[in-house]
Amino acid sequence: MSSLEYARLQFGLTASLHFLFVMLTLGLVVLVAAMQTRYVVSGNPVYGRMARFWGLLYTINYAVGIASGLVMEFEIGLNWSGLSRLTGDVFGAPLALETLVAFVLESTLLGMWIFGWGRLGKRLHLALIWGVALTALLSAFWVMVSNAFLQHPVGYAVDAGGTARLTDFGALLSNSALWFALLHAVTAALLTAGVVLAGVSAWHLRRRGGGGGGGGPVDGELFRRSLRLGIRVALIGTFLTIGLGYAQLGPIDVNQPTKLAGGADAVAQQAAMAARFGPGDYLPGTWVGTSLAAMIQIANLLFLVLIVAQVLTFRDTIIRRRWARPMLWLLTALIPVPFGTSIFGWVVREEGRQPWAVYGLLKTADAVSPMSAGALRWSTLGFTVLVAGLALADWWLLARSARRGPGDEFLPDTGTGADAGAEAERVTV
Amino acid sequence: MSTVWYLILGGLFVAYFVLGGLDQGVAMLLPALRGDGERRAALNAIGPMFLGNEVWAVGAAGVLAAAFPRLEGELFGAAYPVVVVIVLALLGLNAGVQLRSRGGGRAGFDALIAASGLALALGWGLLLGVLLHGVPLGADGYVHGLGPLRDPQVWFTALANTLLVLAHGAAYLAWRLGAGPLRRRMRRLVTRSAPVAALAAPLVLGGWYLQGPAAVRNPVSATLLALAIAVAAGAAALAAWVDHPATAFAATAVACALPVITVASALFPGVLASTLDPGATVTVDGAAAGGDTLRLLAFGAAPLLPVLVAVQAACWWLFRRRTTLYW
Repeated sequence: MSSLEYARLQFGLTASLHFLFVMLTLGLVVLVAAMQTRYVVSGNPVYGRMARFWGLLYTINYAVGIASGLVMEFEIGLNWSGLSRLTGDVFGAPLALETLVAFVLESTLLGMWIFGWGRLGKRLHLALIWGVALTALLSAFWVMVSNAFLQHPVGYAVDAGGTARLTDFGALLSNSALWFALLHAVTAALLTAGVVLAGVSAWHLRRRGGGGGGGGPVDGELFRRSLRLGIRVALIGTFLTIGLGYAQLGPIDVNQPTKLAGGADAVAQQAAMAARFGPGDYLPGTWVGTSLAAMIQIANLLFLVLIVAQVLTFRDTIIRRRWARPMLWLLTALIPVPFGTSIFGWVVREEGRQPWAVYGLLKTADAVSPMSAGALRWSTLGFTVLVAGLALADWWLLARSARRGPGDEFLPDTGTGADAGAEAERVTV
Repeated sequence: MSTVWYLILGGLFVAYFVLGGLDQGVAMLLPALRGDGERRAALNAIGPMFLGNEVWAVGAAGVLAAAFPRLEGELFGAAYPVVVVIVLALLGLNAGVQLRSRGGGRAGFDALIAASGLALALGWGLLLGVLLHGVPLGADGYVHGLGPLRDPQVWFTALANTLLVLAHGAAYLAWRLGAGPLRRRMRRLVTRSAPVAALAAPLVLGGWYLQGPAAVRNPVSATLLALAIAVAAGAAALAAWVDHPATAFAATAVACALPVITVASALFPGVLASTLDPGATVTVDGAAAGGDTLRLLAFGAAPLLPVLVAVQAACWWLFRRRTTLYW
């Protein structure tokens, strides 16, 4: 393999893994903040326990999400020096704003939130999780501003030295490749969080049999509410994600005529690009179209399933009636679906942009650092083994914590600590 | 404008060397702690601040990439294996600390955390050494080879930084933990490691004098600052000896901050010296991004830095005597 292929493989793997974490983090934090708000406003401890339990899963997921994001930030500098050389001024600015204005604050606030349960005032603690949620969304915004520039470069001028300089920041923010894509990603994150909420709750409800069972009535209530919230959020999220997906087709057609071109149109686009930029292959691989089709089909099916699930939540039929039980099983089985589908989406967006790193401005082959394939092979191996290893460990811990269920926080009697999960969670003064 | 951003970049790196050094020091100490109880006590002592400490590295890398894209590209190229190891270690440390108490496999996570802490302290020290040594930057603007990393003097510099970080971690635990055997052992560790670090600083300084790299433009201020590192580390040892943990911690914090300032002031106004061609040396001005980008960053990002400092200060204050066992 050439160094270009290694660099692409490395970034593709890291970015895909990173997004699997981002998706859940971004959606779940909003839901946790909503649960905690309800807890603070109503004083109902069930919502406090919900916020704490889902918040625990959120922080486990965050741990590797932040780390894989860090790897990406360094990979851009290490392996794609052509990108920073030519367009670093324009592309780097929103990324820097992301790290400085959003991420750095998000992480600091999260550290305080994690350790703040029962230690800080309720309102201050609530403000912390909302701070985390808002800065997370702000992060998503700046990252997508950078990404939209790669898809459709605007607001720059190439100076005498051949470096792209930022001339119009407003143009970066009103980029036609930005807003639908951003909202598509955010609603997809919400739908993912909804599906995870519903799937994990369904697993517990199936085992514990609604009101009674091993977890006791309190956990039954917690998961009943979580299930209803999850299904509702997932349904609305899927609806919006599908709509915002289709909404992008128009801008893509204008900004990146080669991306989804097929048949005679593809031949014409290839000829037009070759005439403009010199000989070369300007059409992305066929799996871009396949990914697009798969994404659309899966989303439609998911939407149908969620409509049925939503109908079954009427009078808690889904929990109470035996004949509705398979839906609980199905919801749990659906957990991986949004994650896999999101990768299809990124294949369409990123692979569909090839052979360009910055569409029409910088080819991917010219963006890669002048490095030996050997050095890149080793770093690819190192990054992949460590990121993938940590991802697997993280998912294992996530599944374990999800199965174990909530601890005994906010229960009237916290004396015994009978639940094994409670021990790790309990506050020790 | 570029000098202002250089100062901000320096400030971010200083914050990271002090606060991130705390995490690295505690991480390195894990194998020396007895049993899960002590390890949890140590990790949770940095708990509420941990994520806040680590973000300074991300912030510094962000400013480096946005405001000094050339410096980032060439420095990372000149020390590629080191940067890869640093990134892997950041990954290992962050994930390890956050996940170790969430399930099984604690011993594995502890090894990962300790190895990552050591790799980070060495790695950042190596980058400082590479900057002092200068890099094989050709007139074509590209770095050729990894020569600086073969120089033992660069490794001595990294070793000295590691010693400082180790003393820093021990000083933090000696200050933060409640009275008990662990705290006593940490205090004793400060009285032993800080003098070694204090001795290492002038030795490394002498080594650089013998080598006399062209990169160093301000030897006088650099010498004074390097000696200040030795003084600060010595003061930490003394304070720990008379059982003044807060003073000892403050002294190691100063000692950990100074290496960044020392190297930057030694090189200024250069920042990435070429060992091949003096004309190819990158200065602060030459490494900086265009004026529009710097102005955008100044409006968009700079106002946030005081907010970040305030939030982190609030974090230290809110959790000043509160220990929650979470990690």
